[in-house]
Amino acid sequence: MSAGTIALRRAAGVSLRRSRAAVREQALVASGQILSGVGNLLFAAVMARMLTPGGFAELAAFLALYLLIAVPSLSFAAGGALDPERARRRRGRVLAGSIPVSLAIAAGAVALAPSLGLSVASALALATTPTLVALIELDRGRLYGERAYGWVTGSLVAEPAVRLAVGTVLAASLGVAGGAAGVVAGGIAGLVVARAGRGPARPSPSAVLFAGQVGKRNSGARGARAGGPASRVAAPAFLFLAVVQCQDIVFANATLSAGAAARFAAISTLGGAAVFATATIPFVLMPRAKAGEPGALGAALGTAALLGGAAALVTLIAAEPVLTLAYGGGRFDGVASFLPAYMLAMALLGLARVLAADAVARGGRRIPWIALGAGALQLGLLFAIGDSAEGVGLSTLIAASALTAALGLERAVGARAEVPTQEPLTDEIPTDVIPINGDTPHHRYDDRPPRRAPARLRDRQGLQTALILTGMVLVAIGLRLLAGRSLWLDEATSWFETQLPFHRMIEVLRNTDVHPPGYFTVLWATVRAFGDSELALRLPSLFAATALVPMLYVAGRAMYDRTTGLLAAGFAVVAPIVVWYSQEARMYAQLMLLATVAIWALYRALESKRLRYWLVYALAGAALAWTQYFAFLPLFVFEGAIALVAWQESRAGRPTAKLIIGGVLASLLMAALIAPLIPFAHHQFAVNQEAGKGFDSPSQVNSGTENQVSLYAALTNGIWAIAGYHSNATMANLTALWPLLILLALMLLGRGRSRATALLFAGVMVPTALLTALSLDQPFLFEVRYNLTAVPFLLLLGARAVTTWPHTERGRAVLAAAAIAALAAGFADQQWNGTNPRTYNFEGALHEVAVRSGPKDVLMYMPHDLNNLVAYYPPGLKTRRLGPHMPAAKVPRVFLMESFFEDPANREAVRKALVKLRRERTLTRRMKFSQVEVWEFR
Amino acid sequence: MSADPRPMAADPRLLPPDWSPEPAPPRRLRLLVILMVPLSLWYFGWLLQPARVGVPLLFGILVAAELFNLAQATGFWWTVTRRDRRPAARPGAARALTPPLVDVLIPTYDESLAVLEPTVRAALAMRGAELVVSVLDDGCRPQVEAMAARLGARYVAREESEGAKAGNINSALLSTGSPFVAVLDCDHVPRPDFLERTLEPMVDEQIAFVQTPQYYANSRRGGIAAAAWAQQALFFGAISRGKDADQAMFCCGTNVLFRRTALESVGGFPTDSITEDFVLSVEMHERGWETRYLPEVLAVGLGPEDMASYIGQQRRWARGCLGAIGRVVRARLPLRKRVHYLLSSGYFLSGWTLLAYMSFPLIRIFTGAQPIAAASADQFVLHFAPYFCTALAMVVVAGRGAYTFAGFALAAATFWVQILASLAALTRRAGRFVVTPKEGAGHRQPLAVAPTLVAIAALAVGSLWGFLHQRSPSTLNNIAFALLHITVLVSGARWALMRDGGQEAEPAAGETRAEAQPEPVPATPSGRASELNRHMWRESSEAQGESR
Repeated sequence: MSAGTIALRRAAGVSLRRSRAAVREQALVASGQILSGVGNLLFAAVMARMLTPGGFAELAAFLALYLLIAVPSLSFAAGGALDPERARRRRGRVLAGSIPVSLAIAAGAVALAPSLGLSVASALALATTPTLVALIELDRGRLYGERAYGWVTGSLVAEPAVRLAVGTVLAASLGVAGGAAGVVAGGIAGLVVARAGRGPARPSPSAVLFAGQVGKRNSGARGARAGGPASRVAAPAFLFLAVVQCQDIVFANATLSAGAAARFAAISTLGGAAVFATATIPFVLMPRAKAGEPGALGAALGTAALLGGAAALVTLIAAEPVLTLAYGGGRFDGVASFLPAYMLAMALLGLARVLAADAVARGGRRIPWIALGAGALQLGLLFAIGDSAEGVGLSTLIAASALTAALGLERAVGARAEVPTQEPLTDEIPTDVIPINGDTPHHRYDDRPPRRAPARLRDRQGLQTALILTGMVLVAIGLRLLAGRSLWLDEATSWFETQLPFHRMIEVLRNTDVHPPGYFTVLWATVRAFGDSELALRLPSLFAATALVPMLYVAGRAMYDRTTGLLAAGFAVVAPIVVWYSQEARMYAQLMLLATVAIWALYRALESKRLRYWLVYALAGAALAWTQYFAFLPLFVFEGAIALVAWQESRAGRPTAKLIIGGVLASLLMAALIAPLIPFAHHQFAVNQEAGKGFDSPSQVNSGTENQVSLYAALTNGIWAIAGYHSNATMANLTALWPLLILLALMLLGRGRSRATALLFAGVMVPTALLTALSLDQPFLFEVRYNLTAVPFLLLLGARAVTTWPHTERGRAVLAAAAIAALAAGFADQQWNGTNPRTYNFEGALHEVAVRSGPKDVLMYMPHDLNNLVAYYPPGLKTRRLGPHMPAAKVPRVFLMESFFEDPANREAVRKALVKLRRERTLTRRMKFSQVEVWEFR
Repeated sequence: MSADPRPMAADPRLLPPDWSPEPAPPRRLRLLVILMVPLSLWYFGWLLQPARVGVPLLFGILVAAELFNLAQATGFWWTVTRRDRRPAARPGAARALTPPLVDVLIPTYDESLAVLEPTVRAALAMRGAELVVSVLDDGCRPQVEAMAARLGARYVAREESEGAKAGNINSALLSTGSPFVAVLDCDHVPRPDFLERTLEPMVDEQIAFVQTPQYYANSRRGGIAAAAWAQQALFFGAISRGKDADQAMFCCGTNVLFRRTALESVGGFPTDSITEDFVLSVEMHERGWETRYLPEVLAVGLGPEDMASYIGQQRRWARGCLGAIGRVVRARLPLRKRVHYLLSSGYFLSGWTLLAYMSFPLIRIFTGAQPIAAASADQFVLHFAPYFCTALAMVVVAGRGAYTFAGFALAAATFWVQILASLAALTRRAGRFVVTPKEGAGHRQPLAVAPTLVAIAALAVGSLWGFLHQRSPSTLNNIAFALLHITVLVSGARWALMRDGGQEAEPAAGETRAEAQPEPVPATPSGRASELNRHMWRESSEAQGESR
């Protein structure tokens, strides 16, 4: 065995030991931090029970401000972690800087208190924090740098313990001010312990080794130099990160009603606890990151992901129990639905702080700007959509997602930039300082494995991709959960059908529905497993629309490259129509997912001719057909593509036997799988035609286009497919921008053509053209829902355009950011503008009726198709379809509910009923909900 | 054997071209043309109805612009579908010419030796003829003279540079006597088989010249050269093939082989035009000579690398071609040839149509006046989109994808050059021959696109004003049109705002042009050429000495 090989193995062993040590350190400090978090949670829970909602909101604001002041002070911790000796020297200067701030707050307490949502006493308590937290973080930072993790843990635990003990006692007598005083007392305790702590104050031999080697290696690229520049970057970076973390609660407190602010304070406190759990991880990472130790970032990210992900998962599974545990039953149940999303935002913030710390330690200078951008984005969103607790939470989620993605991207770009200086592992071995087995030092050896860097690079790229995709999936889940809305008519039909025994459901589908049974079979099983709550009903769609994110990456990578795949996946995270159908208990999300699987498998099959891809293509194609009849349109394109490619290959003189055999076998298998569907579909068609409904029925969707084939309708459908559903006025404005399509056409000049692009383009255009042709006879078919298979193809084409059209990296980054921002804006407008004509708030309307009605009251509804909805939402309510006869006079209250206003028959029937009711009764209330109206007569 | 160990050449001209002017699929072209006829009728039949007239003046301008574009488009479709039915020249037919004596003329003025020397070296290395390479230096530079002497080329310098390039060549023609004359711009490096290939069609005594494409090797580096090349590729691809099929190919000034008798029959290059090659071709066609286009890249040159160079080149072409319209109209040419010439000249009027299209949204935003009335967007797009999309498809198919958005944007961003040139032609202001620089300026040139920037600013201000004052769909529609124009203009003008003209960086230090020298001049037959050149050079020097 050569000396080089021995050195390699030794270095590998050192690396492994170092990774384990990094994990152990993270685990120790994180456990202390978790204990601290639990203590804080306990403190918040106790305070929530002891104080009034308004008082608790004030304390939450105090805590947020405390945090807002404390978290920027983390820059001292960051600086100390990078240069403990400097931290020791700077204590005097820190005091000189922080005491005037404390005094200024104290002096202005009376004036500041109202605007901060605090009492004067709380404001005075707050005045101590600049000095207090600066000193705490300075000493903790020193301890991180000295690797005195036991003392750090002690300080972390001491603070909440004293806060809880002292705060509870004082709050009982002094109220909010007592709680605030407890917080200050806890801080003092934490400082005392941190001040007393001392570390070994000398780096371990391995640290010397790595600092000597890797630090030297990094110094040529972007390595941090001894804390100074890094801490200058760390200060603004952590300041802006703190702003992202805290400005939502300040905003909520300042702008929302007391109730809404309290609701947000409840989730903010829980979220704060989650992010708090990950707060120490960056500082434990920093010394190792500065030394360039491999594995340190992985350990830190893993710990942060574990803690943050666990918190998000727990609240996803059991939001209500968590809230009950924290605040008592019933107080904040309303926030359960968006608590997981907010926890996700906090988990992402934890990851972002780790990435930021790593970048700062390595000398990254862009971090403050990235954090500032995220803060600005959040603030903009808060003003745009932060008119409710949910809106505030969503703003933070979007900002945290963008921040994490940007830092991940910075890390990826930074890693790529470092590659030339990141020699293969063999070069890291300090053969010039470590004699091996008595051998003379080796400065060079010839038997080292050649070129390991690409493999390492691949591994790292794989890890980065996995991390980015995981982040995307988490954000996608969060956004989809946040985008919940009331069930509407078609979904209620889905619910009704899945309530039946399976054979009966199939029979009903066969005789009354217009869709194949594939999706309903999946939904039937889901309902049996998870019940029939809104979430359970939409679970298959949620899964499909979330799985579309990684699937688009897979397809984009196979058809183009990794960047295109990632960008397409990023588009899918926020693509409004994808999010919309993730929250609809219908088959459209599956349609998008299966179409992506099918086109990916087909492309791979055409390229590699491998049997497994043909098999996947056949199965996905058959599943598509069983999911929706319009899926036959892209299937025609796919089959045509096989024939065309075979012809092209044959003409080019290339062997085509494998291609033809694979294609034919796949097509036959698909046909065999689809064959049983044909008699089913035929029967459906015949029955529906005979009954004069179903295939000929007009659209049930308030599209605003009246489903006429026209340029406006075509453009509207195109905009829906990309930008989501919006008010009719917005759509009119957006369609007026059609001249930009001329620009698009011009920009296509001279673009290269590839098989992938041709396939995707045909996958969009041919079904669209066929559907348009069909719509000339059946106008109701001119509807984007029936062409949703085109959406993922459009996302892939869009990602391809973004990654190839600009000529510079900066241009690509700007265009990608603009595209995602445009999609996010479309998403926000679609979900929260309130004028989206496809948002039917039946839940709100029926909930209000249920609240206001008694056991003898009657609800009449129009149109009659709402029967499943009124059966789903208000259990126990007496309901009946609107007919010619009004309820008898003995019925105390009559409610009349109308929806689908664009149908003149509905309008007329309701008008007549209102005339009758007005004659017989008194109109006591008229309630308007999104696309639903309710009249109450006594 | 290992691969070629030579370092990658720094001079892109010494790399093989990555473009080949292969013919577009004729069936597809014909199919598209057949489609275009009803689609054009569909659009213009709708547009020209009396009910469409909005504001009459604006409507008139719109219709004029649209009809002009239709005429240009029809000419384009007609040109690219022409098929050459003449038998191809036999390979090796040039051997029938005895003796194949060729004068190679390389006019130069102020270009650097780095640009000039590879051309001279490659010219000396050409096969298939006994040749005399003459460097026609209107700059009278000693270093060029030394270089020519070192390489074995003849050096010719005039005391006065009257007639610019045309005068320079004419002057050289007087001191040379070979039956064939090849003209190469000083940046166009010929392939060794340049003469072999261009001499083949010369077997036909009626051929006055054989023109080959002007390929821009620096288009690989992107930026303005690539955009300019996209325009050239369309011309030297489908358009030149079509012109050649009607024997209407005109000389493009470089990469061309002339028959001396043809040149002499028209008195050499005309010196009263700044597009001497264009007018020369008209005169030759008038005298019954035929011309050929050989669609092979036989010489590789450099395109403009900065905006000022490009604009200078375009201004010269536009001024020269527009100034020649009268000459073409008066010429005794067959109708088909005359139409080809008019189409080429008339192209330089398209700047006016762009000005009109850019003005309409602004006029609508500020005054509410519109050229078209009684038409919904639905109707307009229904009639216009098929015509427009098929016309674009025609460009894509005919150009085999070589015509890019960058090329289009660059042409659009210099619309004002054509306007100024047409005004100059109308007022008969004399044009000036400006040598197109062969190397980039290396700095930003916002002044070179000042009128474009003014247009962008006007459109932006108009859009903003409209957006702030009236956010109706109708206004937004016009803002979208303005944004369309802004994007195109910015795309075309952006290179002027870049230090390097948008081109990728030069090769790294150490990879100098010296490393990219062409292969050494072989002993035969060009060795003989060198001898001949030295002999001629001595003769020339003696003659000059005598004259002095």
